[in-house]
Order: sequence, then structure tokens, then C-alpha cells
Amino acid sequence: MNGHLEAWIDAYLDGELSITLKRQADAHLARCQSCRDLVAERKNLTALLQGFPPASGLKPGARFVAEVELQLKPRREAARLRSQVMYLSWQFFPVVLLLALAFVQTVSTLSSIVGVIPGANQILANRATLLPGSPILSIEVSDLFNILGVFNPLGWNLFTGIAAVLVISLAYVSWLAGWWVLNRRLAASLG
Amino acid sequence: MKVLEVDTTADETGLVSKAQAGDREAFGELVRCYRVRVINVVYHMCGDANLAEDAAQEAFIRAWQHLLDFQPHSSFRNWLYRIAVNTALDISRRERPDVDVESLELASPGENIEADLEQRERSRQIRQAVLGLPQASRGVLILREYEGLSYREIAETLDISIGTVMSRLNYARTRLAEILRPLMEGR
Repeated sequence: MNGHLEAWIDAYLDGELSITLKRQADAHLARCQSCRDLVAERKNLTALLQGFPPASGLKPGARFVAEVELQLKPRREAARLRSQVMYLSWQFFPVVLLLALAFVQTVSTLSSIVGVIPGANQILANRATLLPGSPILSIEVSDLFNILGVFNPLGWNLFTGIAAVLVISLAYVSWLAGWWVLNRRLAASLG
Repeated sequence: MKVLEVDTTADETGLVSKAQAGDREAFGELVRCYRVRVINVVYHMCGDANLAEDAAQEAFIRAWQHLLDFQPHSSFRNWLYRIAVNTALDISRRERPDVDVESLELASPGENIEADLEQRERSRQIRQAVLGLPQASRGVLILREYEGLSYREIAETLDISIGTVMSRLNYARTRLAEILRPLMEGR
């Protein structure tokens, strides 16, 4: 805290300053007449503002509550459950991503172990051609997947691992963006 | 100024949970607990008692509609205040409140006409000064001066930083001190 108290005066009077800052403020006030005048003015203002009294002549509480209850639209149970399921799914999405990342890391590690065993790659390559799924793809796509080792998890190479981590990262960033947008929309909807 | 204090901590969580599950009676109880506070927040924002009651009802209806979005770990009161402030701003934009001088409380009605008139004029000036503040600063000032919220609570309620709370409050009070200086000097 340097100089006069103008910027801190409200926090000082509202009891929002830390003990250290309050001591500094007290020390400054002891030697600064203009800041003491400012404190007096603020206190005077706070007292004066009480001249804007709370609302009076209100309708009885029971009537107010009854009028509100009459205007409440029924909430559907299905909508409530759907909302809860959506909320939980949304909350657990990062956990799913974390599990996916753990899976990718495990497979990559196993692949590197298999890579150093002599002849293991050839055996896995032969088995990969027997795996279902590849015949329904075009040759080019099938070849690409074979190169990446998609149909043969234990034969994943470096590129497959990097691609998987990139996809997971992208999904996480999208989740963060969605979370931010959702919060902004929620804040706006409350208005 | 002390608004009506209501014990809202004991069963509030249970009431909110029940209301989230669709229990209208539980929500009605929450409305009963917070009615005066919400009306006063809106009243200090817009300056019209009748309008404030309508706006407060609208705020409660909005709260009911969005109750499933309320996170149990946060403060229900602050969440409700946020809706109240936003509703008050919407109402103020939609309708120009009439000057509701008659609703102002007087110190000793009927006994001393001159003093009453002076008090009435003082109240009018104070209210005009508060209502003349920019909306953002007014909201912070009202939550602090009339509802007694801490800076952290105001920041949470209005979804702004504590630094912004401090700067808006400083601006509001400095501005009010300038406008109301003649009244303060006359005290």
C-alpha cells in the first residue's frame, strides 16, 4: 500500500483488508488528515444511504408465495432424469478420456516390448490379416490402418500412439470449450 | 439497515433438493424465506415497490425453471440474488418505474409536517442518486450496503472478480459522495 488510501478506503471500512494491510492503513491514517477526512465522509455516506429504506406496503407473504406457486410450470420427471444423466455424463467425460489415455499408454508400452522380441512382428502381421473389419474397408484405407497398426493393437507404432494421444487431447480441449460455452449460456439464461 | 433475518441455513439444503425433485411446497418454503430479501434487492435496483414485487415473483419463477442448473455446493442465496439482480435489470429496461415517493417510510408521519417533508425530500434525493448510478456499480453497491454481502460473495453472485467488486464499489461510493455532499454537510 503506497500513498493515500483512496483505492483501499472501501475495503478498509468494509473489513475486507488483510491484517497486514489494515495495520498499514491504520498507520497511514494516524498521520494523514485528508485520509481521515475521507474515512469520515465514507462513514457519513454509509449512514446517509440508510435513508433509502426497504420496500414498504408489500402484499402479505402468504399471498406472494401463493401467486408464485400458481405460476410455476410443472417439471417433467423424464426431463429431470435426462438432465441429471446428461450432467453426470458430462462430468465423467474427462474420466473416460483419462482411461483412454491410460489404455493408449499401456498398448504403446506393450507394443514396444513386443517390438524387441525377435519374429514377433511377423507373427502379429500374419494374424492381423485374419482380424475381422479390414475386408469391409477399401484397400487404401485398410492399408493405411495396417500401417498404423489399428487392427493390431500390439503392433502399434509410434505414429499410432501419437495420433491417439492427439485425438484424446483434442477431445479434452473440445470438452473444455464446451464447458466454457455451457457456463456462459447458463449465466445468460439466468438473466 | 437490517432486513428481515430468516433462519435459512438449517433446512435449506434439504428444501433445495426437494424443490429440485419437483416439490412445490419445498420451493414455496424457500420463496417464503427469501421473499423480503429478493424484493428489497429488486426494489433498491429499480426504485418502485410494486414493480419490485412483480420482478421478485418473476425472479422466483426463473429460479424454479433453472433450479436443476443450481449446483448444491454453491450458495443458494447468492444464486437467487444473481437471478434477482438480472431480473431487476431486465424489468428496468422493459418498464420505466414510476417515482414511488408515497412508499417511502417516514420517521414520524403526521406529527411534524415540515420534518416529514424534509425527510421525504432527503429520501428522494438519496434514492435518485442510487438509481442514477450505472447498473453494474449499482448492483455491487446494493449487495454490499443493503444486503451486507462480503466482497467474495458479491463476486460469486455477479460472476465478477473481487478486484472488479472493489473498483465498482469505489466508483459508486465516490460518485454518491459527490452527488450527496450537500446532504452530508447538512447532517
